[in-house]
Amino acid sequence: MGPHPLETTEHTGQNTVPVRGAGDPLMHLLVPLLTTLLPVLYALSCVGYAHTYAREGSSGDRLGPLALRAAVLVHIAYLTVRGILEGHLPLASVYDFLSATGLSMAIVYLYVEMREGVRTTGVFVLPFILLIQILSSAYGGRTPPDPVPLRPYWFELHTLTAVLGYSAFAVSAIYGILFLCLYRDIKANRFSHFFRRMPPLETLGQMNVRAAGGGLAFLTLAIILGVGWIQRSGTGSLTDPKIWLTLAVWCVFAFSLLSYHRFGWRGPRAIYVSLVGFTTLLLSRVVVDLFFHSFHSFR
Amino acid sequence: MTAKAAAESLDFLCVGLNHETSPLEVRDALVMNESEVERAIQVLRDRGGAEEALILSTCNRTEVYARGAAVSDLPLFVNQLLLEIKGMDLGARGHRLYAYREPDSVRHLFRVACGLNSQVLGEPQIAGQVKDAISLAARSGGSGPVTERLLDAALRCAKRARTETGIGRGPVSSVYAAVSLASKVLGNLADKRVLLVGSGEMAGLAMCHLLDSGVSQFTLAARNLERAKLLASRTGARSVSLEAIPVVLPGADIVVSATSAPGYVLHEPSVRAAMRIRKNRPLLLLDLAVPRDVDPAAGRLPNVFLHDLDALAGIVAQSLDQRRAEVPKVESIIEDEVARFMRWHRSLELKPTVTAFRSQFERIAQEELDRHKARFRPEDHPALESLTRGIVQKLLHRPTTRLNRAGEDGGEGLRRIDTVRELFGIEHGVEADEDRDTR
Repeated sequence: MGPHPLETTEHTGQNTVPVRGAGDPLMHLLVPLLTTLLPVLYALSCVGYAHTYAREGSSGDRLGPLALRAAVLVHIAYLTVRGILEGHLPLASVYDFLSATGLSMAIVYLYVEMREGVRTTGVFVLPFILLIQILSSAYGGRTPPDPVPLRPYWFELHTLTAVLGYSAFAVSAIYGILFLCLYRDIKANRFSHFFRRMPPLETLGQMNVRAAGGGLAFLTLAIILGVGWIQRSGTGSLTDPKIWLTLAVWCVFAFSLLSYHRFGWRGPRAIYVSLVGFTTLLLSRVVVDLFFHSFHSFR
Repeated sequence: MTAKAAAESLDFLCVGLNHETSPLEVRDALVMNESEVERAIQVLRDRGGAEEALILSTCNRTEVYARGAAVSDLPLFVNQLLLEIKGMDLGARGHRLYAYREPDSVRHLFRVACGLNSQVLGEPQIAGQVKDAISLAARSGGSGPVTERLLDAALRCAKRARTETGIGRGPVSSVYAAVSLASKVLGNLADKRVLLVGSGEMAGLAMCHLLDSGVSQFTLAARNLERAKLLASRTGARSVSLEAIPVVLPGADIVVSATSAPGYVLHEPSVRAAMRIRKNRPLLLLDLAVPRDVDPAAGRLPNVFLHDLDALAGIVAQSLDQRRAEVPKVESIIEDEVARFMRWHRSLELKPTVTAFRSQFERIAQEELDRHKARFRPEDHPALESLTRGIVQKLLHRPTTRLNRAGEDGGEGLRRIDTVRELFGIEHGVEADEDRDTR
């Protein structure tokens, strides 16, 4: 059998959940259909948002937002069907993790879009979600799901909140980069199409901070639940490099938000701090998975 | 009189001059106030025989629109009118008036309302001025069904141009560009504090635009404190001397500087010190002065956005380019609205012919019925009348429908009307006497 999800390798002697859907005709029909439909819907929303960005004065294009909402609903349906069939959160492989990250990025983006009323930044966020979903759809369904050990619901909550937190940080980083580009353009008197289509600099800064704030809240919850799970199950170790790096990420983002709200930091300096946080996050996920032996990784 | 000639007799004409055809001193001298417009409309109606008339008089144009004028040379008549009312003889000065007949006159009015004929392409005020001109015509007894319909069409056209195209998008003046830039950097300006340096016209204009954008907290710094206080009284702002700038600078989010000082008014060390106090919160410096008021070195500080007139001119040029690119779309809307208006206008002219055509048939049917009624029993009369009426209705249904649509078919439609008039002896809505006499 193939790889397991966010599971400890020392995980022995626990009960496992049978894969209820393995022989179910629904699994053979609905899941592949939704797996194929998802990249198509995300691609459609990319096209819609690209059109909104490209056309001057067209903030009212409906294709992008409609396609994205449809994609989010289908994505939730897809994960729900898989969750029901597999008996646990569908986070059984790195591709499942990617898919869940794509969904939560889309949700975070939609939340920020609705809150700020800005649609012209979608073109910079959606391609990442599309890419993630293409990878997940193309490679995720190749092997049938394995039976996984029974896990408490709060462990599932740990993974869910971690995914939401990482996604929010990713969206925050995209807004941070957009902020820096617009900042430089305005300073240099470059009033290009990008300048005209972006929201005000201050709004971009707020989008960056709000997404980071949401990310920090979810990550805090994920850390608490994860530590609790280690303590309860006796598996894993608190000295794991990924845990320390995650705590470092938490500290950087906490400092970033503190500096914004408490010290009144604005502009590139505040953005650079949050980008350092996101870079640390990427390191913790990618480098540790590749170069360190960690109980807390996909294999 | 042919249908075409009849239509031309009710033609909607436009005679006038604008910024493209006349210099500023001529345009200035011809700007009419309300009472002069009322008087001119009265003259057009009384001596010019115009059924409807309206005058659009702004600093960029003076245009007379008239329908059904009974003068052979309307431009000459308008020339005399302007001489009489404004005391300016355009002919003697060698200035010519342009003149448009329908549908060009309608098209011209729509172009004006959309801002295509304005000095600043796509400027929005002109639609309001057109509306005011038609209201004034209504008060002066110059308006009628055509001008009223024309107002609706012109305003609809202007609205469509603004909503369906980008003709009104982007700032087209330096001051407006400065305010737009402030919004682009700082977002909502309602809670932002502005330091206005200078008390001249430019500073006043900037204050107006900033007030429109929701700014309510102003501080004015000027050499001439009296003038600054006068300007400040508009908003209840406080005024300070130029020497106090370093003191008030940390509290400002936007600085608009427009003095005539020969050197810098705002130096880099002052800005650097202010930024320290502001904890590096963004500061927008808009330098609208020539020579510049703000030391360019200040713009290199982090979170300080310094923009001078050159930079703002870049934004204005871009907006104008974008507006120019939208002109074909606006022209297409105008053509659509002109065609719509002309269809309605022609149908208005055709109505008497259609009415006369129908009443002729109905009269003949009634006459024949009266002539032969005696041969039938009285109790059969209602059935006989119903039968006759039914035949007439059925015979007339198709020709009436086609005639009503003749206005939409342009020249072909007018020829169709002429044929009907000739065949049935109708003279512009009235049956010809010879035809009635022969019966």
